[in-house]
Amino acid sequence: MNLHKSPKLADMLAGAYVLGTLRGRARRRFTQMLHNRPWLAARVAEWEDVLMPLSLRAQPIPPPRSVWQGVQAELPKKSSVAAQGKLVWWQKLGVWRSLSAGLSIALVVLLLWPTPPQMPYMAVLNNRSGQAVWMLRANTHHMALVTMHAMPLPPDKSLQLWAIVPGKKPISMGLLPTSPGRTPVLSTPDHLDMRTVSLIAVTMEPAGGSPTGQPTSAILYKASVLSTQLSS
Amino acid sequence: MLEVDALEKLLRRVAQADQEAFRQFYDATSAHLYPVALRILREEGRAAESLQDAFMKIWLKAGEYQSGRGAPLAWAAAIVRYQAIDDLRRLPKDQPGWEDEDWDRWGEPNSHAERALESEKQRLQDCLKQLPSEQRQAISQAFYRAASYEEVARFAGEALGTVKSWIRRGLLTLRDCLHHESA
Repeated sequence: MNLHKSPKLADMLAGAYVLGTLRGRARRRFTQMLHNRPWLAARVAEWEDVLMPLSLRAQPIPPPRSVWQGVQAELPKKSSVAAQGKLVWWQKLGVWRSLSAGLSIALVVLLLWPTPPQMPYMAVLNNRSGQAVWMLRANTHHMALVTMHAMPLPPDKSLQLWAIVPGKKPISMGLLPTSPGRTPVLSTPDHLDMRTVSLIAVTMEPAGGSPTGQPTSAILYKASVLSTQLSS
Repeated sequence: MLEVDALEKLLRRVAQADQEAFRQFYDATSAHLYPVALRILREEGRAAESLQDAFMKIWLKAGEYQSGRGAPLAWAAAIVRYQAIDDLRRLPKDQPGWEDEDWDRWGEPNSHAERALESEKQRLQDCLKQLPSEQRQAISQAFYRAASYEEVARFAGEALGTVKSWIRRGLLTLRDCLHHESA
């Protein structure tokens, strides 16, 4: 399709792109085209300039603080090169930072995958009103957690996540973040094999996590770990 | 706070990886941009995540902003919007809660927005008013909700083809009107 020869069509597509009605493959293709066709990008820019002001609503709403924290954690660090690798790591952990270093329950981060690996297992933890608060995705030995809602807690408490393997004692998977965000891909603690985990559960523990390494209170929330893979 | 010149200056510094400038740009714009994501994703956690990803793109793409274009906020809003549309598509399909409020409010004055945006908005509103109401509503649904043709059609209770042609014709008229107005 030579869009140069049909400026009206090009303009329509640019409009539909900005409007959002251009979807799926067509949108992806159009996005590709934008990269090497400055004149088309200019059309898009024109539409953006006229349409975007509309989406800037009268009433500004400040985003949750976690947004800037997340952004900041992803920015290149200004620290010395030698320390950089480690710093980026722990910075990236962001919400997991509340873990105190010496705790045996701490999640030890072993590996950050350059690209997200396949995560065929998942579990969604709902709060009492049925709202999904955390989503865990995992493969055999890695996991990542998305926190979808803030979960306010007293300062002297932490929420701790446990893996329940039938016939075994609960295994700590670390402390749960309490504000919206995403963790990077983390290794499962103690090389826990997620295929054996039937349930995950949350208990409220003293700040920093259970002093005994086992849950010290009743289960607040739990969820089954489901496989999204078709069994062969 | 949202002076075009000041924002453009900040973007130029961001393009040179100036993190302090980026922080200032974030502080000046995030409260205006968050509602853009919120509007589309309709849930705070999702919108916050999407906004975070969008700001990373703003950080990376600041060099692509053409200084003097005069609309740094619109440029950033577009990035936020595309990110939110992408994120929306990854969500399980749910029935959007359609509301009528938005297009009724299009004519209201907006005390907070920049004056430059204001005149653009006015220009667009004048042109929108010239559209038949079904075209105007279809476009505003698509715009505000990032609704697909299918969703707009479902809402309007019309055939998909009809809605597509409303939106196409609406955009064309809008285009002509805007060109005419600016000429």
